[in-house]
Amino acid sequence: MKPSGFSLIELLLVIIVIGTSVFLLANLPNALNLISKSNHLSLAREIASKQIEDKRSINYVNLVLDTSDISDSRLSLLPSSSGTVVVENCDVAICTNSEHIKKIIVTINWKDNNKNQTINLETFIGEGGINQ
Amino acid sequence: MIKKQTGQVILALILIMTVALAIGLSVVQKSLVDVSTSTKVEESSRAFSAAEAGIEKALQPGSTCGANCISFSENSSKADVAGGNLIPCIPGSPGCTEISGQQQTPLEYPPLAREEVAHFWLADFTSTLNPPSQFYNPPNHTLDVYWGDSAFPSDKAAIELTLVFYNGTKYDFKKWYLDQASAIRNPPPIGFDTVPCSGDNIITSTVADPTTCASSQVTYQCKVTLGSLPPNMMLLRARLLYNTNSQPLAVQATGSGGSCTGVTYNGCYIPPQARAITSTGASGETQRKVKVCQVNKVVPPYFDYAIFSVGAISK
Repeated sequence: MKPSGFSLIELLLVIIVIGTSVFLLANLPNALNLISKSNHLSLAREIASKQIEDKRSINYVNLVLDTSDISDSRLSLLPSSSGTVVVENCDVAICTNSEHIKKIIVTINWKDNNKNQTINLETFIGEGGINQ
Repeated sequence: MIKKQTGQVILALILIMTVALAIGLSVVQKSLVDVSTSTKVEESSRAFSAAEAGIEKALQPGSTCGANCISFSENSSKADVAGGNLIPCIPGSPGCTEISGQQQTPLEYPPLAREEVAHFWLADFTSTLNPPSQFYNPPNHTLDVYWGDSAFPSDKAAIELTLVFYNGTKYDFKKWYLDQASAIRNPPPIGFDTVPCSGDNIITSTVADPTTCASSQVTYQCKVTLGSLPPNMMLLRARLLYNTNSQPLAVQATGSGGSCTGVTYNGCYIPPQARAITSTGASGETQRKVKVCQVNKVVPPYFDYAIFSVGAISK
């Protein structure tokens, strides 16, 4: 009489397959979060780069030393986002000859899964420099 | 009843699980690649901003900038700057690789589009005299001009050269119209001299060399030696014609020998007049490089059709 039931190999295979698929499925929401996080990071970088390019197209003498909020329509695509552009004079430590250089700092903050994310771009704009 | 289809359920189960596994793996792989890419792109932006900051600092008059010129510790980016000295340097002067008496390196211009003008100073443009004191006046009264990029063998450029000089009482000019392929022009050019471009026409610049204005290593199409040059040369303006691609050009002083010394170097060399600044920004493992060529006191192209005058012009 042939015994009914499952062989050992069949059982082992099933356990392995089910275990792996459960592991993957459990990580699926994690992976989707990572994709969304990297999309946000790319978008934030684009917004920050554009802010710098916008500042470069302004004449050096018209660059006002201040802190202003970023107003980019794409900022609304980032959850709980805010951004600032700071224009200040170059550090004396770097600009030892008191050159006519202003420092631009662009900071964008947003939240991914209630964790604060931030990106920071810094550059110089000089009188008679690039795009001036 | 005999069960004939044993083991089919488990087969189906394995097939379904394999498909689910494949889907899950691809999602995980995409997310890993995405995160890695976006991190690298962000670092790339920071590195580029730092590189631009380095250029801005180096362009300021009186600024000295070298390795670690810029360091933004708050967002971990920095920039190293190379170049910035006036080129072409005078052989034998401090910091110049050529020793006294050697031929000066050519002054290479970044690629020019058709009808754009390149400007080379031959007089001392820092001179306060009117007219400016002469600088280039070699014993053999010649100047080498290179133009065209051999990487575009079917895009042959012609060149129009205008030499402005002071003849003792007023400014005068001498023009050359040189074409390497007049036969293919339609309509055929009038008044152009045909130059056979072959042989000794190679200058190669090194891409990695920060002290040249050339944007890449170039083998030029043509070389011509302008002869019988008058004294008191002021400047040379060059315009490329008939080219489709932007092509580079260069001039080289022909003076050399032991007599090329003294305050005015016996007129052997052209004055250092341009700066090539290369800034390499780094953030994390990513590097971005920006190169800028700066030429000072250049007259805009429409002045080709204006008048150079020693005194006031009255109508």
